Amino acid sequence: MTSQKQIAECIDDKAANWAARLDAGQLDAEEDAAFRAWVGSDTRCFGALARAQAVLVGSGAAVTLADAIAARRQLVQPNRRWVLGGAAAGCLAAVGLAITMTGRSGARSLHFSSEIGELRHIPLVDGSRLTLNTDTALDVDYTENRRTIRLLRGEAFFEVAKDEARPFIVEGPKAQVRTVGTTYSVRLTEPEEMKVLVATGRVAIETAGRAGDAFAALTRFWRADPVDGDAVLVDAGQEARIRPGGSGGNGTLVTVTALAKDGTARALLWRDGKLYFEGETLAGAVAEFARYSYRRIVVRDGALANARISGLFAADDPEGFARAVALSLGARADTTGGTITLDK
Amino acid sequence: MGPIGEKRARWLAHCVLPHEAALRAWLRRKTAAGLDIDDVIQETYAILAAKADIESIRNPKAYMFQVAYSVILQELRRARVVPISAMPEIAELEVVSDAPSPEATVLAREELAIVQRAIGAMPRQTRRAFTLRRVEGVSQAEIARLMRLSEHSVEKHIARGIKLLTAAFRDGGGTPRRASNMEIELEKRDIPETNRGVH
Repeated sequence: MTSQKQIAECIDDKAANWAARLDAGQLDAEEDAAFRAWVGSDTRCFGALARAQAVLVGSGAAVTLADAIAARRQLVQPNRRWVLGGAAAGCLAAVGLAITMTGRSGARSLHFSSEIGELRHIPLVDGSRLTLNTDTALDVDYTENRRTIRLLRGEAFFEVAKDEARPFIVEGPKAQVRTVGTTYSVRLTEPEEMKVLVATGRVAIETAGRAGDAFAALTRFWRADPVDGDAVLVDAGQEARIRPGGSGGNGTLVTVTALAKDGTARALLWRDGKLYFEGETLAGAVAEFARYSYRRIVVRDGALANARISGLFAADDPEGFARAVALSLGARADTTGGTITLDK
Repeated sequence: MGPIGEKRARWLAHCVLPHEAALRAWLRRKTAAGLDIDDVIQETYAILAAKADIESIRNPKAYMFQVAYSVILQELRRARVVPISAMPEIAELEVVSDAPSPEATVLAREELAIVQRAIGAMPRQTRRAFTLRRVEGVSQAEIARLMRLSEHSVEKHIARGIKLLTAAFRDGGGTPRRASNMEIELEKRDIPETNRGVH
């Protein structure tokens, strides 16, 4: 039976070659004859070809756009890439991790990032786990007495392993989030704005303004129940929004709101690659989709943009979302190149 | 018989391919020696690809198993050998055959994981060509121009990508056979990142 085994493998190889050839374009007369002779020679050949074509077609939907962008990027010539400059390099941040030595105490700082459309899970040495949402970058800096994360852009979910002796601190532009062991997400929205959503436990939000300066905030230690007014405590099921304001514009405003029942779980569905909307405007939902893909949805009609939508959607499938919206709002969805247009 | 249509290819990709590893495992457990599993798999795909009506199939996994089973029976009749071990299983299949598959979402996720892992493990050039073709929809001719390769080379890369993915589905996305992941990681590490300071 070994000879037959070899034949089966050989058929698979030939099937892959033909699937690639058929994908390249029209066969000429000679190729067409060869193809028909091969595929008609044995039902197994037809089966193997069907499988090879399925593999080729099916892979498209499953690959994240980040891969596509990476593939494109590698095609950009070096000097041109230089001219494109910071914007391109920033958006298309490297995947993988770079280890750099920081000056003080020789501690190692780890850098992690995700591309647009990518979701990354990162286990850390202390048992904590990070989940990076689309287009996110952060540094991890662990020392003997503190665990520090610098969120540079995007959104991440933190599952913090409990360690009373080493507070876990996420630093954002205007504030830092301090905890000893809990789960929560932090998202940078506007350049100086940040949202903190607590799933379990309690976190303390310490702002530079309240603490005098950022350095003071960095060096202060965690207290289970701060009473000195330096920190805003946020509990499970609550969301805090941190933005500049007050003190003549130099201060920081922290607003805490309680989310509706199940609201936390729904807001964290991005960890499963899903987006949940409940009564959001179409414009708002479209903006949310834009975070996850280089494909753009454009809403042509003003009334349509303000229509309210609800539902659960795959974050990496803006076309599917647009089709569903078109269907439920009696609109039309057209895709040209990387743009999906929604119109009445 | 010619190439299959895009719609059928999609159905096979999403509903059948992800079950291939499970079917192989089942075949290995249940069939007697002397039956080539690769042959059964290819015959099964041939039948599923040629079937006139797939809309009525509510549970593709069970249907795939049944088709494979019928292929085996046919082989056995031809070979005049009857391995008894394969017989009782069909009863189990009939029980589940009519229920819609409850695992659709899990399946999609598995499929995604298998494809991503396999693509991640592809050699660099193959990965680029394959990704440009399938995700961005760039034609092979255009890829040849972009990557400065001959169209024939691009076709070879696509074929290679198909072979690697086929292998991944065969093994159910187990350990990738190549170690080129490292190569890709290293390559990406070389790209500088701008510092969006927050301090």
